[in-house]
Amino acid sequence: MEIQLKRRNNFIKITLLLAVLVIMAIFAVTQGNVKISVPDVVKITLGLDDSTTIKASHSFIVMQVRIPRILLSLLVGGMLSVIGTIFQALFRNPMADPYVMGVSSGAAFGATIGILFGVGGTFLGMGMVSMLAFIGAMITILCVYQLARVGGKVSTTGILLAGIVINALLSAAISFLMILFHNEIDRIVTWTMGSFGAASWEQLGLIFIPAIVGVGYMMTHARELNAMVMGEDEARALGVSVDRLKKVLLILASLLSAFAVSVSGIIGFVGLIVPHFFRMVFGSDHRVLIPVSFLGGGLFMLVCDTLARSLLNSMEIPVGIITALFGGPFFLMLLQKHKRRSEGI
Amino acid sequence: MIKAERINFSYGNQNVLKQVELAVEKGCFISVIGPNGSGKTTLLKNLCRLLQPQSGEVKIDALSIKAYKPKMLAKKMAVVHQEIQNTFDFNIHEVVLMGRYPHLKALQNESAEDLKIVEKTMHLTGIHHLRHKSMSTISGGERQRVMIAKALTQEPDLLLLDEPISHLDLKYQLEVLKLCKSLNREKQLTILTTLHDINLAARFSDVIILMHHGEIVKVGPPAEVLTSELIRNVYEVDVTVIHEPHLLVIPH
Repeated sequence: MEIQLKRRNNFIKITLLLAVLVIMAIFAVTQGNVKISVPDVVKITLGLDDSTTIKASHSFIVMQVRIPRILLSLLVGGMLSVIGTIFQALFRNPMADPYVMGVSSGAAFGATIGILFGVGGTFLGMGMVSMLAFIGAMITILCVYQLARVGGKVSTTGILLAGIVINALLSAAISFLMILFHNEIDRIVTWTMGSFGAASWEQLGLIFIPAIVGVGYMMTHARELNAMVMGEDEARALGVSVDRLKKVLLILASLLSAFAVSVSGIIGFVGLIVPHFFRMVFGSDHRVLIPVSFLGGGLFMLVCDTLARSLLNSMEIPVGIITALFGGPFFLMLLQKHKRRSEGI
Repeated sequence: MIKAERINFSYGNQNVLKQVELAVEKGCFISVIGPNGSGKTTLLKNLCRLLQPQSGEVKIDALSIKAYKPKMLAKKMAVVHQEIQNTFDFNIHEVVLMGRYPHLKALQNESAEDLKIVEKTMHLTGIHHLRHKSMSTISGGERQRVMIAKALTQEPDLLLLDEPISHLDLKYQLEVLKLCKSLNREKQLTILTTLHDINLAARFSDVIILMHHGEIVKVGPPAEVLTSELIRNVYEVDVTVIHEPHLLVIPH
């Protein structure tokens, strides 16, 4: 049967993707200012290091710096891609990204306040700036959601519009604050371009459960999302509880994007292009698209972050710059190729 | 099968349906006709619960439509809508397979039985050879047949269609209506469709419902509904109605 063949094919592709991901992750641990060999990395991670052959500093770099950072980039990349997939399906809009509900500007505004007023300390293992970013994101989501709600129903166009307006409003506010306090511009700008420089096991612990539970839950609604892509009336005619599905997934996806933003800053592009990329490769069936977006988004982010911290010796490049600089042209190339193929040239 | 009991529906303070009463018998082929804005599509949307009447009730098999769970309703009746969204491309097989949704539990995979039903409806609607193609690469007539195949895959007793042929050329118009007719005759599928073309409605329907300003003007076999007098009243057009060799309405 062809469908069994298709399922097996997809299984093989997903396994391959996973294998590439593991290999890349191990390779990424060896990279950085201090080069550490693969056997040493394996020994350290398996707890087989003895101080006679491996430097304590290497041990520390691998276990406390690189591994949490790599895992965090995998997780955030995966989350952002899945959230993008979900929003694009719910809004039936290929331009939707994880930040449609104003999450990015809300978070940036919160973080800006944190940076400017020099709030220090930590809360639940999260730096205060991250915490304020999270709060800013949540408040914005609530505002956008309320603005877009008409008589108990959420209008998708309403959300897109409210999101855009709130985004513009908060961006203006941030720019204004940056002009007023221009000696802090660098930190704010860095934050708005994303970075995993502050990655830690605590941050990882904070987003791990929401990410896994959230993405898992979204996966269980893949079939409903397929129906939603065909139109809300279509989905209703098939017996999907459209309003409830929309509400739950909107809230869940924005919550997850707020978590992602609070640990990494705003990393654009990933949530937009990764789902499109995999739609071209695997088709639009969300039962396949969600898991591959998760793995593929993680892989893409891992590669970008590894480049971000090893391209220049003197400094780190904000990862959002890499995702756009390298992801953009690559995606355009692919789009051209795909277009030509579907036109039969 | 399906009944509307004095339903009233308004958008804001504009009354679109006024005291509409209708009863559809099992195995019937019914067309709803009427000028633009007469309430055809609104009636259809009320019948499938996309819209809820402000007063009155829709009943399916003597049970209020409000009592049906979404999936239950989708097993009773399938709807083919006027517009098809195609933001992200699915292939034909995937689209038709969606029709099994109401029969499946949350995480259940389609069984061999489900796949067999999909194969069957794709053969029945003549789209089996297209199954690997994507929705964006097929013609309008083919797309409409895919949507009908998806609806049939739900295994409904009743099929509602909203202007299924309005964007199609003559060949495909006939093809789609012939397909509906054969499903109606051979599978005893009850069909209710809105149509613009009076002559096609006359040719394919057992019963025609003529609507005007949100009210049902006349219900009955084509020959009773399509009289030059009624058509003049409703459409404001003078016509000649010929009965031989078959009913034909010719505008002056």
